[in-house]
Parts: sequence; C-alpha cells; structure tokens
Amino acid sequence: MAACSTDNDGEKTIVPEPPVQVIAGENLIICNEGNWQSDNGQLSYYDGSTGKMTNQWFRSINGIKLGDTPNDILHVNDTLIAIAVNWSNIIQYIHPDGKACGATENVPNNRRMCTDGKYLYITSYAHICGDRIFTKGYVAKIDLRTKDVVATCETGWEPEGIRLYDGRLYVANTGGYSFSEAHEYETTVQVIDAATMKTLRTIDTGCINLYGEMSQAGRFLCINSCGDYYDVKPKTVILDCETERYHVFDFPCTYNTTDGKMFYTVGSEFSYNTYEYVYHLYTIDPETMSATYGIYNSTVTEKLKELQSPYELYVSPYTGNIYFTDAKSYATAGFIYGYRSDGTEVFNPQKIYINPAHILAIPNYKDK
Amino acid sequence: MTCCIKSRRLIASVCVVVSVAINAHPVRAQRLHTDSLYRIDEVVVTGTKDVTPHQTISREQIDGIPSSSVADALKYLAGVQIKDYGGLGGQKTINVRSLGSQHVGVYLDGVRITNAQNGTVDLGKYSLHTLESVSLFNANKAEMLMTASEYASASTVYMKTHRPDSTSLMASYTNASFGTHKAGMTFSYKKLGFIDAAMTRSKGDYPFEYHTEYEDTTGTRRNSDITMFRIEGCAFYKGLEWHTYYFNSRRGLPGGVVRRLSDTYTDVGREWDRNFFTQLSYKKQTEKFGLRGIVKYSNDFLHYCSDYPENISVHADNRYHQQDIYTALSGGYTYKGFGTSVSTDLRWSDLTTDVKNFHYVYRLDSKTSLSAFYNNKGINMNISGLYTHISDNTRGTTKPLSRFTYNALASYTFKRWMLRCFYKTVFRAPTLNDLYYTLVGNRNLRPEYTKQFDIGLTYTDKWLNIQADWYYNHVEDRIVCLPLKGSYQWTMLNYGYTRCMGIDVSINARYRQHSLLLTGTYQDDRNRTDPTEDAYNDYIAYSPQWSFTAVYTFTWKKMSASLSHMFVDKRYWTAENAIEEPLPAYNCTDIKVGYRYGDIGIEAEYQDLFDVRYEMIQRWPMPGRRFAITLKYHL
Repeated sequence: MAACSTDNDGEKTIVPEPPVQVIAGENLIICNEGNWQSDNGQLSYYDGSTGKMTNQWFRSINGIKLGDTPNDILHVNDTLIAIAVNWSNIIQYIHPDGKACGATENVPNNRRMCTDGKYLYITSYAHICGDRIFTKGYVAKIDLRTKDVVATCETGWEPEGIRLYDGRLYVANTGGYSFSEAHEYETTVQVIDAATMKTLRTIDTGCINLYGEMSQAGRFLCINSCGDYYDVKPKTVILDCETERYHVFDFPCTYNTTDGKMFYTVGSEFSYNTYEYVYHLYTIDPETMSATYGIYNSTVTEKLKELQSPYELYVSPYTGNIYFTDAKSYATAGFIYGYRSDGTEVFNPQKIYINPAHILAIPNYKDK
Repeated sequence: MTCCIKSRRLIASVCVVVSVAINAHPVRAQRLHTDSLYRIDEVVVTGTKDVTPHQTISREQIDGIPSSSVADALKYLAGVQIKDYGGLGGQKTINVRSLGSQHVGVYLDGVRITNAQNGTVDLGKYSLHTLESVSLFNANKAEMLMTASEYASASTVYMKTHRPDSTSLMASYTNASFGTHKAGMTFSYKKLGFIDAAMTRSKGDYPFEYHTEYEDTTGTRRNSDITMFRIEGCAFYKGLEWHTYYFNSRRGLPGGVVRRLSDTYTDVGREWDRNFFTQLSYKKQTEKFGLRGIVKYSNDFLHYCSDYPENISVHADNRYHQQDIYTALSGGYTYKGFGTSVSTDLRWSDLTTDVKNFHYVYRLDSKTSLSAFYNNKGINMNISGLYTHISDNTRGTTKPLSRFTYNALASYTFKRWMLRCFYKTVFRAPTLNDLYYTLVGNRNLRPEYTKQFDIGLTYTDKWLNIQADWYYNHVEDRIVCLPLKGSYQWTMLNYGYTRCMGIDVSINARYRQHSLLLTGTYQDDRNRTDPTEDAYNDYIAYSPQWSFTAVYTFTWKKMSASLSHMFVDKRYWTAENAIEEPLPAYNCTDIKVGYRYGDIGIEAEYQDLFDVRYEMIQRWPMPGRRFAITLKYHL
C-alpha cells in the first residue's frame, strides 16, 4: 500500500506508508511463583499460533533460573517486559521473545508494578532502597533506559497494588505484616505525583488491609480489602481516580481483572472466629457502581466454581478472552484455562507450573 | 538382677550373651577405656523380650562416629531419614519409615521430650556424650512397666543415659572448621551420677557451590553462627533416677539459597532458645510385681527476632514460653508366662506468647494404657490398648479429643532365629500451633493417623545380629498448611494420604577389635491423596527409594579408628515428581581416628571426606568437608 501526495512542483511521488496491522491472536506469558525459598519461580509461554505451551521458558532461553517467588509481570512496551522477583530482590527485564535484558537490584522485597512506558513504578515492603532508608514501605521510580532507581517516595506499611492515572500514582497500603510487627493494618490509598514522586494526599477507604491485585478500568480502580479474618470482614473498594470518591462492596475481590469497562472478581470470605467460608464471583460495573453475580457467562462462572484453588483471573485487553488458573494443591503443577467471551474454549486446560499467579497476553499482529 | 563383673574380657562376653538372650539386641558395647566396673542394666527380668524391630547405636559406636548430636548417630540406622537444614545451628529432625518427624517420639530414659507448640524435637540439642546408647524402635518397645506415653507414637527413639562406671573428671576441647570451638567437662562419680557441661561457639559461615545446567553459583552461607551452652546432671540411687538438663543457645537462621545478584540485602533472623527440664523416675521390680513412677517439669523459651534494619522482610520479634508438667505411673504383674501392665499418665502443658491475637492456652493430656503379655516356649505376644483424652483451654470454644488406639505384636523364637510381626495404629494430635496460631491455626483439625504393619526376621549369634523387616504403612489426614480457596490466607488443614512400603535390613557384627554396622533401606513412599491429581501415586518429596549406611569401628590397644559411609538415592522435592529434576543421589564418608596416651586423648575427624556437595532440603546446602580435632584429658 502506498499513499499519494502532491509535491509543490506538481510531480507525484510515492511515499511508502506503514501497513495497518490488526491483532491476529495472542501469546501468553504465565508467571509461576513456585514455592517460597525454593528458587523455582518459572515462566511458561503459550504460543497462540501453534497452540504449544512451553514450561521452564525463561530457563530454556537464558540458561539461568528466574529466581524465587516472582510476584508480578508487566508489559512495559513493545520490547520490554518487567518481572518483579520478590524473594530474589530483583526486577528482571526480558524482551517479548524471553531473552533477559538486565535487572534492577535496588528494590528488595518488591511487590507490584505499573509503568508509563518510560519509567517503572514499583512498590516494596522493605525499608531500604540503595542508601535510602524508610520507616514504612516505599515506591521506587526506575528509569527504564538505565534501569536505575531515580526517585522514591515513602508510603504506608507494606504498599501493594499500584496504578497510574493522569500522572498520579495510586498506591494501596496493606499493613499486611501487622500480625507480627508493631503497627496496625492500613486503610489508605496514597496518591503520589509521578513526576515529582511527592505524596499529594491519602484517601482513607475505611477498609483495612488493601492487599492483592488492583485492576484499572480507565479512571476506576478495583481494590481488595482482606479484612483481618477475624471480626473485620473483607470488602471490595472501587475508587474513582477522577473524583477520588470510592464505593465499598461487602464481598472480597481477591483476584480481579478488567476488560476496560467492567471488573471481574473472585474472592473468598473466611473467618477464624467461625471457620465459615463463602466464595464469591461478581462482575462490577464501576459506572453504575453495581455488582451482578457471575463472570462473563455461565460456562466461565461454573468453571471458576469448580476450581480447586483459583489463583489468577485475567482478561486479555487484545482479544477479550478470559484466562484463569488453578493452583490445585499449591505444591503440584497448576493449570490454565482460556475462554472466549462466547463461552467457547481457547484451548484445552494446559498444565503449567507451581502457583501460576500472573498472566500476560502479548498480541500477534498481522497486516490488514 | 544386676551383674557386676571385674574382668574386661568377661564383661564383653557376658554382655554379648546376656543382651542377645534377653534383649535380642545388637551386640552391646563395653566401655573401651576403663577396666573398672561395668553395670549391665538391661538384665532386668521383664517377663518379655523386645520383639519389636529395633536398632541400637552403642556407646562404642557413638564414640566412633564423628559427630556430637543424636541426629548424627540416628542417620546411620535403617529406615531413618534425617532432615538437616545445614550447618551446626540448623534444625535436625528425623523421619522414620516416612511417617513424618512429628510421629517420632523421643524419650530420654523413658520420659518423652515434648514440644506442645510444634510437636517436633530438635535432636541437635541433645549430646551423645552422656549416652549409653541410642535406640530406635519401630512402633514401641514391648516390655512391662511402660508408660502410656511410650505407646503413643508411631516410632520411638530411646536415649539411655550412661551410668558412670568410675569416678573421673574429663575435660575436652575441640577446634573445628568454620571457626568452631567446643569445650566440655564431665565429672562422674562412680555409680551415683555425673555432671556434664559443654559450650560450643561457631562462626558457622561456610562456602557452598551449585553447578548445574542452569546455574553456576559459589557463595558463602552467612548468618549461620551459633553459641550454645548445655549443662546436665544425673543421679542414680537404687531404682531412683534423677536427671536435670539446661540448654541455652543463640543462633543465626540462614534462609534457603536463592538467586540473588549480590549479598546487598538480607533476610536475617535470629533465635534464642532456653530449655530446662528436671525429671525423677523410680522403678521397682520383684519377681511378680513391678512399679514405675515418673514426674517431670520442663520449661522452654524461644525468642525469634528479625527486627533488624538490614532485614528486607517481616520484622518480627516474638517470644514463646512453654511449661510442661508430667506424671506417670505404671504397674505390672507377672505370673508364669503371663503378664499384664497398666499405666496412666497426665500431662499439663501451656503456651504463652506475645504473638498478636494468640491467647494463652493450656492443654491437659491424659493417657491410659493396658497391656497383656504372654511368653512361653519361644512364643511371645503382646496386645496393648491406649486411650487418649486431650482438652485445651483458651479463649473461645475448643474441641476435646478422645480416641482409642491399639497395637498387637507377636514373635516366635527358635534357636537363633526370631520371626516377628506387629500392627499398630496411633495418631498425633494437632499441636497448639496447628490449632491456635494467629491467622494459621485451625480448631477444626482432626488428628493425623498412622497405621503400620511389619513382619520381620532376626538372626542372632555371638558375633552377629541380622534383622530384616518388611513393612507397610499409611498416614491419613495429614496436617498441612495450605492456602484457602480463593484467598491469600494460609491455614492448617487435614489434607493428604500417603502409603509407604519398605524393607529395612541391618547387620551388626563384632569380631575381636572390629565392629561393623551395615544397613540398607528400600522404600516406596507414595502420595495417595487424590486420584484425579497428577501427583497421585508420585513419590513423596524427600523420600529416597534406596539408602545404605556402613559404620566400621576398629579399636586396638590405645588406638581407635572409624569409617562411616552413607549413600542416599535421588530424592524428588516436588509433590509432582515430573515437573522438576530430583536432587541427585549422594555419598558421604566420614572418618575419625583417636589415640590415647596416659591421661591424654586426641581425636581427629573429617566429615564429608571427599567434599561432596549435597542437599537434604532443596536450596539448603550442606557444608561440605569439615575437619575437627579434639584433645581430651582424663583424670
């Protein structure tokens, strides 16, 4: 294809135009946590065009092990993927073909990430980042060209989920170590200016222990509040980053994802007082702040209910396919399931590795 | 009846004959370096024989093994897997016939060492130095006057304190690899008792290496220092035996070795332990009647701290304090070939801690056992029933536990051969941590059951003791920690069913100055939890199929030498075997030589002589070759 344009002198020249590409399908990278202190975190790779699943993908490409407990994976841009390897105290970078391309060491006990394409923002439970010391936790800003920490901002205790909206970082504080440390659970979402890395304000949600995944659908965030497993019940907090007002639902969203409009949630409610156990599956519409039972369709909802140990829920932003994992007994290889929005299977359940905690879709393009 | 014989040669032969005849025991050791009296306590008429499979490491073999802890000695026995996290300060527990470490009861002079908090006994805390022997019984001993608690574990380890045969003072100093210094002193008063004290200090940091297809790592295991002090005293008077023990340690807790770019950040934790107990036991045996009573008090303190600025993980600082009061009474009556024994015991334990949301708890554990024995013309039978009642008191409601379990065994002895079999079912109650620990404990837990069947053959003659056993066991309702469905929260659950089939063979031989212990273990330990799971029927993690050990000891005049070797087959470390490479099989050889000149003795040893790099737990490397030299002074 070529576009025609008319030069000043009237002569016609042919200027090549980049081909218009459409998404033809997707590949998946699955981040398996492995077992803590076993140094067996692994990536699995699903090739959407051949339908082949490759376990031990990072190892086989790079000849080294990924490390201990990778607990987040993020698609930074077309050439870069970041993996937060928690107990190895590193952020490992790879190209989409799996080749390792550097690591950042200075953010130990790292948790979750977000990016604007130039910088990576990552939360950490630690109190140390290079020569910087913090009383509570912090967010580090990493320049992706140098892969060095360029700025930090102290947060509440044990900051977990982090998302970027309109130049502002929203960080969910958990206080999750409060069972053994001398502080209480946190209830706040901290708002940080991403450019200056200064705290703008904190939003008190009134809900404790904002732990786990945090999905973002435009201006809305879906935040899980675990409660304390005793008297304080778990909740779901939907925060509007535009107005910074929030709505609370009386069920947890331990695993949550979004297609850009709706939030899809899986959660369990458990109390050590009663040992009672309730399992929730909800779809939340943040525009109307309403929740309806079930996810996608009855096939997906029923399948999710059947799982022994649901461990991740992910909607691909490219295809709208929904993927979820079952960690089984947490010591054996987990499985991944994939469904299209019409309820048909993308593939037969695929065996991956121990504790498959995160899924990332990488689009396959083809010329139109 | 107690024998006191003055001639050394006679001692040896009498020991052999007596122990073979009465106990079907591996050849017993005599004291090597004294010509004084030797008292044979084993020769007590009990109306029965030890018909359960059992293996003993004698004092002579203990002296020959280059080690200082009970765990190091037990690893040479058939059917034993040791769990060692590496280094002097690492916890050492044993697992017998794959039933799990919490199913091993550890008894010091017949009194169980307990830990109500987590149910395991760290064998690294008990010295071999003061022991007469260490024995392992599958199921339990089968003799009169056992306490009900002795019936209550699936396997039992007996540590028998040595009664001094002379009055002496012994001082020793050891210098070993990784900056280790040990000093010890023992004062013994003939027949009546001893006081033994030892202090160990080790920097502990040791080098490790990993060379595999996916890594090429060399490094130093840090934060593995330990300082420990132990003092214990024993007094014996007729049927009375009093034992008091105090142990104090502080140590670093190194974690697993995982991928790191540098040592910049650490996850340091430190632990302080203090253990104290005092126990008094009394035993009286006449021809027909027997009586035994025990009282014990123990007090254990544990402080765990990770609240250090350089620590990048949880900054915890918790203290745990346990107390335990135990009393037991047993009585027996024997008439001709028949015997019966009844025992009742009561244990009160409590746990106080500053862990958030953990409330003070105390446990009352009462056990009653009734046993019947029959012994005639080579036929030996024993049936025992055990009733256990456990109730806990803490905030909120708790569920008392009461269960009846039993075991039965029979043997037939013909000349030098004995054929025997047993069946035993017993459980372990959930520990206080299992039930009540903040955010993990689950009050709805059921006990974890074991069922064992064993059939075996023993051959004994003057120089030789050979045992072979085939066994089949189940563990049901395993108590494990698992996350709850759809939440991040882990909790204790009853999940899992395993079955193990195995063969244990041990050969104990002695000829003049030579003694040899050979063992071989085959086991097939499988996961039978859920037939729909891919891990169904896979080998249980860390259960090798084959293992072999050999301990050879040679004594000649004032010299002694020993060579010990161990082979352990490959071990899977993931529940689903196919997804990871197993840990490779390993061979480990230790050597020790000693020489005594007058009052002075000198010993030198190498552990892991060929510097084989291996792991017992994946990513917890063992230290490789290490050297120690010991000077002893006897007065």
